[in-house]
Amino acid sequence: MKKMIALLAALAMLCCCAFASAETLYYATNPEYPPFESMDDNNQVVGYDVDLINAIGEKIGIDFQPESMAFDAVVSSVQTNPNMIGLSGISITEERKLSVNFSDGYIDAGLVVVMKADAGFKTMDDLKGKLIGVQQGTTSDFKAEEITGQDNVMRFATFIDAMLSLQGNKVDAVIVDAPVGQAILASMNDASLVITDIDLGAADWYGIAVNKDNVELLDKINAALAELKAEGFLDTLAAKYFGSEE
Amino acid sequence: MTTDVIISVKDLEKHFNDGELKALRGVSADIHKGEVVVVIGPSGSGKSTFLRCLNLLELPTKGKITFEGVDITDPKVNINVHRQKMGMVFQHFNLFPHMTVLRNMTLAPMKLLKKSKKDAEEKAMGLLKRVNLENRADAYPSQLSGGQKQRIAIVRALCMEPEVMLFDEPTSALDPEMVGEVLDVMKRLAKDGMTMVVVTHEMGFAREVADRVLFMDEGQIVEEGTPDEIFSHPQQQRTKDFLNKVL
Amino acid sequence: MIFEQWWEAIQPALQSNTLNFWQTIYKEIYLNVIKEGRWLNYLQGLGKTLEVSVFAILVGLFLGTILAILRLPEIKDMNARGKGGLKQVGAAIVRFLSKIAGGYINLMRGTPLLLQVLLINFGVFGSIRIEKIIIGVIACGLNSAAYVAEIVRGGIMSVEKGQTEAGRSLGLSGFQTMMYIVLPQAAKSALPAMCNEFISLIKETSVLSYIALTELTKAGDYIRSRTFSAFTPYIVSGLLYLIVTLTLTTLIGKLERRLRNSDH
Repeated sequence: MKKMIALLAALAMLCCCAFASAETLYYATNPEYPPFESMDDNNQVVGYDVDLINAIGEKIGIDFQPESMAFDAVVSSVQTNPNMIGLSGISITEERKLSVNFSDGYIDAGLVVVMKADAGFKTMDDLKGKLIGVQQGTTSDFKAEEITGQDNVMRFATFIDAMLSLQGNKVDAVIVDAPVGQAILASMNDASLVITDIDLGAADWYGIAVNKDNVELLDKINAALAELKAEGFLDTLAAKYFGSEE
Repeated sequence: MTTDVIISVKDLEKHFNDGELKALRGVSADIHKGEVVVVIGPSGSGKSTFLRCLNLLELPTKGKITFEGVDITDPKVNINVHRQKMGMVFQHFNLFPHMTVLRNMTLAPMKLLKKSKKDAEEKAMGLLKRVNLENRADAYPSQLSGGQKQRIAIVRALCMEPEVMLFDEPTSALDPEMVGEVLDVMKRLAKDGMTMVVVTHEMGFAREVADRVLFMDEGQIVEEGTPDEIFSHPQQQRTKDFLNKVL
Repeated sequence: MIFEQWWEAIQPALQSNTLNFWQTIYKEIYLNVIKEGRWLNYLQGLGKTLEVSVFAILVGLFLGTILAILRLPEIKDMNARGKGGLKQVGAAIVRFLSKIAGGYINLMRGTPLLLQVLLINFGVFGSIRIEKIIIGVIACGLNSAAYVAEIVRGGIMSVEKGQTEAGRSLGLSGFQTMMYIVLPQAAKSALPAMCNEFISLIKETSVLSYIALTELTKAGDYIRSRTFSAFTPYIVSGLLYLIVTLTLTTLIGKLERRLRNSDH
């Protein structure tokens, strides 16, 4: 009986906690995308995006909590749920703007090409007709399709799969957001994979996706972003995650 | 007589379950060409096992079976060749249900005797005519009565032009009114000079058709002789007991 | 094109976010099926799915039948007649193969197909470039063989022993008896279960999307990553799967009836 009471008490406390801060919102994210978001050893989502949204949350008085999902589900869950925002290193594109609104861009990621050291790709033309690995639905995917044609793009669920397939010679190259590519390469520790000098000429701004019906929230986020920029917080974040490069 | 012995069985033993069950305990017999041998005995006496050993459907545990001068228990012998010359008829007919009557009869001759389809079918139709079933050539087994099935099973075996026919209780699974038609076919076959070994409970058939009767009990041949000797003047007590029960 | 005109017609409502129910449905269909010839993506995906399925079924049937025969009691406990050395060794090899077959069946049925696909892709063909379709056929075929083996074995066991005896008594070899007498009857009784296996195989080829083979499910995924429709592409893919599996069910049903009519 005592156990039962203890259990009930615990349940009650859980409920209280859940309702205490009414302003909890969830952000859809795909935590397989270091250093923007990934799972740490304690199964917590961590990374650039997490620090950013927490800072925004502090400014506008909302407790943002992550909800993990596949990357290509992120935008559609924002589209269908007015109380969900999307924060997963999402590049702002015209096509996505049909489905959701975007905040102002918070970082220009840019795309890079990763290849086997001995492949010798020097220009974009060298990639024509080659098998290019990407994460499905990312700007890399669109760029790769532009370069090598729809049928030569191998679309994986994560960039990590794409990189592993490059390692196993199943694709000729991988196109990936620069910071992500660097982070994955750093942890793979494979000297045979290198980032090429090829300039894909793609500016690639990441933005926060907000449901089209929740314009109020979008305005709040944009205001907070502007403040954080002015305060130099974004530079601090860049230094933390990308060292001196940014 | 020894020259025309076609099957010779010597000290045949068959054990099941690692010797727990001894179905045959030393059986010796000679079957002569053109002879009709009927095997009788109570159920469990080993008579079916004996018959099934003759074409190695059951592998003998011990002993020797010689068919046309060849020891077929020798593992080096290709038994398939010898089985072609030993037709067998089963209690439950065992026609192939997915084939027509004609195909049932022509399959083995075409595959094994390399007969052309035409030759095989001609032979089959001739045999069907002899058992008055030529109009059922295109029927499937499920469309036939039990008696018809067994007559087909007999002529299916005959298509291979065997030297010996083995019958394993051919009438036991039949309705009584159909027993006659099957026995008639067998009688005619005997009259034509076919060598036959028949395991049966039909004492009337044994008495009328057999050249020799073997009485088996507990895995051994207890007594053998002409039908008259066995049925009218049995010597052994076990034979007398059995006959008293069935006659 | 009439579709383009309709699309233009709903633009005002789309811009002002005031689409009604039917307009929303048309928007989904237009974006996910019509625009830029996207229906072709589904058909290409369907083509790959069918290609993999057909060849995987063939691999599964062939290998599965061999496995099934290896698992038959008379093979499992095969004993050589007599004491000829070679024959003893032969029988021992057959018994060993039978054990391997048993282990193989357990392994393939006891682990998820997805793992097998990933293992074959990243492990067996670790650093070899090979058509994804071939990997798909190998992985799905090897997996299906294990299920087919059990179905065929059940079918063979359902054929009466007397059938084999009748065949052998005519002088047919064990192999001939199996081919002409036992397997045709086994196939008939195994047909419904086999139909189920084919259908689940076709559906399960969807795991090949994990190795970036653009089959039907992946084709839906692909469209979705272009249009950001939450579920419409999956409905289109699903309908195509349904058309294929229902067609197969009907065909096999017909075949079954024909076989039944022929001998009962």
